[in-house]
Order: sequence, then C-alpha cells, then structure tokens
Amino acid sequence: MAGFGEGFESALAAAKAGEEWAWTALYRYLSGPVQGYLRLRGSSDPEDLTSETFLQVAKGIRSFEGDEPAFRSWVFVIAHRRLIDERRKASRRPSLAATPEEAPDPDRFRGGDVEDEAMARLGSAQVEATLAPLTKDQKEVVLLRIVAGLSVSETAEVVKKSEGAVRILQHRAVATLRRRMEEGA
Amino acid sequence: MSKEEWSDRDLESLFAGREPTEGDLACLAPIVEAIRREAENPVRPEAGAIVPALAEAAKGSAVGAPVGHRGSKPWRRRLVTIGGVAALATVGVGSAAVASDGAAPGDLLYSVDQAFEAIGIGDGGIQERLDEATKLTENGQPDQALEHAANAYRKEGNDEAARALVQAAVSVQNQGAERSAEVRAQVSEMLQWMESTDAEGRNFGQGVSERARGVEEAASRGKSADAPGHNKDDSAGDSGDDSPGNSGRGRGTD
Repeated sequence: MAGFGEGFESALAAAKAGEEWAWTALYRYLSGPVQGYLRLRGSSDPEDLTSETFLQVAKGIRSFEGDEPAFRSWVFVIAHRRLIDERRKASRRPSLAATPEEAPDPDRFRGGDVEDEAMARLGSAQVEATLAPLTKDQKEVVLLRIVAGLSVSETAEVVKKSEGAVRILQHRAVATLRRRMEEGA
Repeated sequence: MSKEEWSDRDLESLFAGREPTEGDLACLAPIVEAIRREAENPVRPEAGAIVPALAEAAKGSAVGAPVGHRGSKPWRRRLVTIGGVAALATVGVGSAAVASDGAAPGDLLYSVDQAFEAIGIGDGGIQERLDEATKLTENGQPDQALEHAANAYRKEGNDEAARALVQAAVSVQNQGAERSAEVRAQVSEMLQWMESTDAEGRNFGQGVSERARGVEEAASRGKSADAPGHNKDDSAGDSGDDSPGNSGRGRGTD
C-alpha cells in the first residue's frame, strides 16, 4: 500500500484542528484500504463500518501522537474492533444482518458499464475463492499485511497476538496458497 | 532454503508487491496483486459527504453541547462543558504511540469517556469494554473486570454471558481470591478469548460459561502470591484442524 507521502505531519496537525482539507486527504488515503479490508473480512456493511471507523478516528485524533505507520495501525485497530462488534450484534439479530461468512455483494462497490461490472464480479469471486482455504486468523493477517500494508508488529497490535504468532500465520497462509496454486496448475 | 521455508524479507517483498528472492513465491504475486486491486475500490459515499462530519468531530464541536436530552447526570454536563475533550490525554497502548480513550473504570478520565458515549460520540462497544476489563485485571481487580464485562454484555442483550460473568465475579469475591495469580490468569485468558473469538450466539455463550467456571474453580482453590498480568498470546491460534468457517474455538483450547 502506498504511503501518505510527504506532508503527513502537517496533515495530521491540520486534522486535529478540524481542517476539512486534512480530513479529505486522510480519508482518501485510508478509506479505500479500510473498506476493502472490511469487505474481504465479510462485513455485512463495510461502507457503514468504514464511516464509523473514521468517526472514531476523528473523535480521538487530538490525543493521537505518532508517525504515519502508527496512525495507519491505529485506524485498522479501530476498524478491526468495529468488525468484531458488528459480528456480535449480528449473531443476536440474525434476521437483520448477513452472517460474517456470507460473501458481500460486489455490485455495491462497483460503477461503470455492464461489462465492467461483470469483470468486477468475476474478480471479486476469484479473490474470495482464493482466500477461502485460509483459516480466519490466516486471512486476517494476510489482509492486514497486503491491504492495510501493516508490518508484522503493527499487525500483531491489531489482532492482539505476538509477532511470532503473526509470522507463523502468514507463513502458513502463504504455504496454503502456494499449494493451491500447484494443485490448480 | 528448503521447500516452504521463506525468509521474512521474501514474505515482506511478496506482500508489498515487490519481486521476492525465492522463486517459488513469485507465482503468488498475481494473487497478491488481485487482492490489493479488489480491496482498493472507490469508496462510497464520496469523501465530500463525510469529511465535514469528521472535521467537526475532530474539533470536538460537541463539547458544550447540551446533554440533558439523554437524561445524564449534572456532573456529566460539567465534565463535557469544562473541556472534557482536552482531558482525554494520550494513553499508550502497546509499543506504538497510539491514542485511545483508554481509561478504565476508576480512572480519572473514565467518566469523561462515558460522557462522550452518553451523547453519542464514539459508541465504545464491547471491544472497548473488554479492553477496560483487561486493564482492571492487570490492576489486580479481576472481580471488577468480570462485573464490567458482564455489564457490557447485559447491555448488548447477551444475558447468558452476563450471568456467567457475574457468577464468576461473585465467586472470586466470596473466596477473597482477587489476588490469586491463577484467578487473574484465568480471567485474562477469558477476556482475550472473548475479544478474539469468532464464536457467536449459543457457542459464544457456552464458551463464556465454560471459562467462567474455570475462574470459579481457580477461586475455590484459594489465594496465592501476586503474579504479573497476562502475556500476549504466543500461540498462532491456528491448529491443524481449524478449518475455514469453523467457529467456537478459542486460543489453545483444542
């Protein structure tokens, strides 16, 4: 994942002061990866959860101190918690929410013409199928590493595991994906 | 390097979209790219719809807003109007300098945190309550941690979990086992499981009940010397038979 680039510190300071340009920049920087992470983790409403995540970030921004990697890690900690809360609420209201494992409707996030949408559905289905053999923990780690661009230590912070456990999980995930590639070939 | 033994550097390269040194990882590069592309889609609504709300929330514009409509107590209004936002000082979490409204019950800032949640800013959620309960356990208050978690689940309508937690709290208090290292370890493990499990509904309630019974048993075995708080989970939580979609398994409970 591409970094924010130069100017993160000034954007952070401006965001703390409530400057809209800064929030536009931060939102554009991370809302896509956050929503993508939530969608691929099976959120029933990743768009809404992304908004909730950013509102929580906005609430706490004035007491945040850290660099860009720490900020990114913090945002994904919040997103991760929101996802878990969504699942807990859904388990008590099954008639109102999708199950966590239900594949999200890729059409929600697509625009463009019919052909583009068909290709997008194919891509989404393929990614879902690719990740299907992974366990929940493996999928979580892989998505945080790839989509969120978090390091091993940052990922460990989000999922509340040791760095060693995260390394084991990513290793097993890669081994599983590679074996599936070999079987498919 | 033998088959399926990859260096951290190669996995870093793979995940970052760079060419890994190990040739047998190169075949996964298209998959990584597909995952990244799938995730990075245009976000709706557009930034313009939400940015003003984010900017206002950051400015703490709700500070000073009347909270009477929520029926909150006068002391909460005073906290909010006097500058409760500024009082939400940084509380370090882990090794990164991460902001959190991480006060726990009994902390000076906890009432401010609750004041914001009372007026609808930052709903807290179960995860925050579990974090707070973990801090209580680390502070040597496992019984209060259990009560705090019970209150959170009761508000969420999860009565089975709440009952089990209250029962465990009462047991700890009756046995005077707050200082028991075993009790604290059991409570810590239970809180970690509750934070990370994907068990839901009945499975979740049963998991809480089982662990709460473990706390009660530890409490009945009596007090022992102080011990440090919980350690991070070193297990991968990823057993060989943890097949996709399987739920109801906690860490190290196979």
